[in-house]
Amino acid sequence: MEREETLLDVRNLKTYFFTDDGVVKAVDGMSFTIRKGEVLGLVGESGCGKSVASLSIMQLVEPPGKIVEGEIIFKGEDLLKKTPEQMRKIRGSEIAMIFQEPMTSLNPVYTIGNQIMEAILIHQDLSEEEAKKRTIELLRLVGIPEPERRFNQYPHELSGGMRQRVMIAMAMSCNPDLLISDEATTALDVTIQAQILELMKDLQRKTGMAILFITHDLALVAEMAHSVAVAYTGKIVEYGDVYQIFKKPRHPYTYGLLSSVPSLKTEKTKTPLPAIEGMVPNPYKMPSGCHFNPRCPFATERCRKEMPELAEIEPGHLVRCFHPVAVEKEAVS
Amino acid sequence: MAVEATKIEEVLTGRVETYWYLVGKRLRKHRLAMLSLVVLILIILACIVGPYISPYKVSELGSTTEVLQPPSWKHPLGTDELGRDVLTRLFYGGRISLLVGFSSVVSALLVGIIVGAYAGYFGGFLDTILMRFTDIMFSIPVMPLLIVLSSVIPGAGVWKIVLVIAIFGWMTDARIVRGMFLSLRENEYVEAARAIGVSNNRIIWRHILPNSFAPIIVSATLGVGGNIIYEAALSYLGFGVMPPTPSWGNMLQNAQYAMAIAPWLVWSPGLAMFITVLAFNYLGDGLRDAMDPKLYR
Amino acid sequence: MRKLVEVQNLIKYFPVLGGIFSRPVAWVKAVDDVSFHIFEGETFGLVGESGSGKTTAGKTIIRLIEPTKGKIIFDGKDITKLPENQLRPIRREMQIIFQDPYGSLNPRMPIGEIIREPLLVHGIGDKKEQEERVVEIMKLVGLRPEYLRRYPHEFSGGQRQRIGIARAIVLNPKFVVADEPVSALDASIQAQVLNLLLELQQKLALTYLLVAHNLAVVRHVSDRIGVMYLGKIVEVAETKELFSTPLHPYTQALLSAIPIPDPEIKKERILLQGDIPSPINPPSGCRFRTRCRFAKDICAEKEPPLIDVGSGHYVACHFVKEGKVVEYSK
Repeated sequence: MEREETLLDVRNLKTYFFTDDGVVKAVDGMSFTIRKGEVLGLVGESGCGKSVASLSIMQLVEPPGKIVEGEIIFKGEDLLKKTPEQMRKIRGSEIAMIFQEPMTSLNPVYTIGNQIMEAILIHQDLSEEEAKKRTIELLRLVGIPEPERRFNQYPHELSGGMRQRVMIAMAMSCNPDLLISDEATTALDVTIQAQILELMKDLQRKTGMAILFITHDLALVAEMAHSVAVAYTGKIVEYGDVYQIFKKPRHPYTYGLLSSVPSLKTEKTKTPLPAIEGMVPNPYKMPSGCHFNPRCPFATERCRKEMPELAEIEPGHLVRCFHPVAVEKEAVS
Repeated sequence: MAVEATKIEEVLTGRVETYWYLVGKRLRKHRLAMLSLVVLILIILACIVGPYISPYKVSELGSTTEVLQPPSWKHPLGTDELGRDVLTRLFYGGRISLLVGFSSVVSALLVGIIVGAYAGYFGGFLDTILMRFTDIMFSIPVMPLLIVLSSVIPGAGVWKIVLVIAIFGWMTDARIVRGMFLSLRENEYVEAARAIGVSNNRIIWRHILPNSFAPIIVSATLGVGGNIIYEAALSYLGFGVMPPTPSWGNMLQNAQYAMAIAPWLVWSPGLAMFITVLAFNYLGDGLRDAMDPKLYR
Repeated sequence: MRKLVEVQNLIKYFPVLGGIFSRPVAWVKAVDDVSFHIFEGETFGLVGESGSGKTTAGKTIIRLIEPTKGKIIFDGKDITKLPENQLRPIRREMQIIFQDPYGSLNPRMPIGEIIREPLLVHGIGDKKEQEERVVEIMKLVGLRPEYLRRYPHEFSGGQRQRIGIARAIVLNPKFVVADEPVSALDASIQAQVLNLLLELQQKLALTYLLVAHNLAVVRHVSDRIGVMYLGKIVEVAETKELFSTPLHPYTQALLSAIPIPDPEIKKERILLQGDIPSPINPPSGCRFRTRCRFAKDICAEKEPPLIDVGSGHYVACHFVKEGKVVEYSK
């Protein structure tokens, strides 16, 4: 992939939730960049802050959550300095977002055609006739058969996969520069997931938009992304291009995650998987030092006391670890 | 690889956080509900202790000079048309009103829970029969019926009132409980219990009922206040607690004849009832918020 | 090998109620004439997408759902029509682990009670013996016995799943249906729970029916796999055989749709067209024909039977003939 100019630059983002029981640092100093036309995979398990990070970019964080620090530079301007009105214009036109559950994002009492048309009319100066034409074009673009007929259907008449296509059509309606996909294929069946991923790849190639691809599924990232950020407890622990992350994972967490997924290649079925021990720490009681140290097989005294910095260990490959894993990852996957 | 218990990380807090502990914790943050709770405790204590420390007896008649006296040091809330101390009667009447309120709610709940639980859990034919019966009970015009009844059966003891309120008051509880059972029986833990071989009765009482307590308790709390008013209305129709036993309801009813010359007779039971019912309503609201499953993490 | 479970022509239709009298107006054909067997000590994986009927099949086998038709033989005994009171002693032998670690535990019961309840219901031991057994089982599944007075909401998803597993094995069953046991868990926790299931199978000689949609998970723990599509079994084979030579076009597409965590592998996908049809109104003939690349006229006319192509490999497709595989062609 050729180096292109930076589209989105998230710097030291901190989004905290101030609850009755204490402060949850959902996103705690995340930094990442997305160039034009790049697909960045943001992976992690529940509670790693990946969804809150995306909501922070859109400024859709709701109380008790609050962005307390950081910059979100989009096309050279800090989104955190925008007024709510300016943000509203950016959302849906320059940055679009699709979610896991398309049913809750679609209004059940309007036809899908109406809803896409509305999105177009809000952001673009088009006549109703033109908007309708554009809507049908979009429905065709996302692979919905018989778009003229589907235009008049209600969300409940469509299957989960079709609804997700409608959401993508709506997201694509204003040719966004950045598409945020938050677990958009998680609720779908494998064969339908394959269709949607293919569609997203295809649209990305055709339009050159950038995608922030958020998921818990490492395999999807391997397939979709150019670069990958692995998040754990609100911090990025490893960051690099997709080959670095999957072929030479250096953080013990990334390494452990990749090893613990059952592989389709291995002959050693019915044997124990190399699982990561323990579980994600309680957000109210983060361990001192490196947050991964209680589960890490390589943890030392230093890891229990100090939080390592995200440091570059080879060009473009950043790891937050005092004792990066040295082995190449060949046996797995 | 052996699974070792010690490898499962310690994440639990030191305290056993039961559901009720969490409800209490949230309720304490609800100021109006806490204030109501304090007020209710004071009222209940006063009603229990009051008659013992009062120098007057409940139905002790005063001399003719002491009839319809306005509030004074001797009688802080004045006296009634028979010269009885209103404050003492207010304490005693509170006992009766609260007793009627609580016991009628409990009896109505018992019927409502049994009907609602079986209708909701088993569904089908049983549900149809029980719920149609509930509908029929709902459609009986209670007040006109009681007016007629009161002329036939003059006067009733406290327990008869409780019975009347329970007989005509269980239907709402039955519907709430049925609704809870209808949705809760679809839960996987109910399926899990069936997979183990747990009997239907045990599933109803041990698995589903404890999970439907929240709306039942809210409804009961609101119900106590409602039934105190109900008793007053019945007294007004002449079907309530019969004098000389005082209740806030019949004190109010008595007072109407002397309202023009002795307004304190209306004010004291009226305010007592007003504050108590209001407090029950606020407490019920607070409990609803504290037990809301949507807020429940 | 002895067959522990045998399912013959199992059918489960759910009514779709409608009209003012709540009469069935249509039927969801969740499981439609399915036959298979599970050998003692093995793990049989049942895979399929939503609407395939895999979960319904799993729950019907242990009579959590009443079968509409067909026969379920468990441990040599026909349990299809047994009334609940005669079924109760057999429930000791067959248990289930649920998908949702949150919904499957009663939030108002301490976990010690949850695990003890099966012993209580079946009247096994006195209170002290039951409590000892609970502690023993908690240790076995990797839970600290000190926590037995705690309530489910205090535990994480992985620990809750361990509690569910403890409840299922406390009676020492022979057969356990694991219904999507790891799909609700985080990646790093999935491996822990899968390892626990494998370890328990070895220690307690369990027979599993693993119902799951994740083929990598099913491959890792299953000895044999059945593939379901719209209420029918389309292919059954030993795990290795199924993954190396899938014969049914649906199995082939399903396998090719699995995402692989390796950026160097750019797979040629068999992309299926369209959506899964509704199980209320499945296509005539072969149910997969509407999405099949090879479908011909015969597929709409005749339903392909599940035939043995050798070494326990069964396929239901018109283009796979007995003993040999006929090439698919357009």
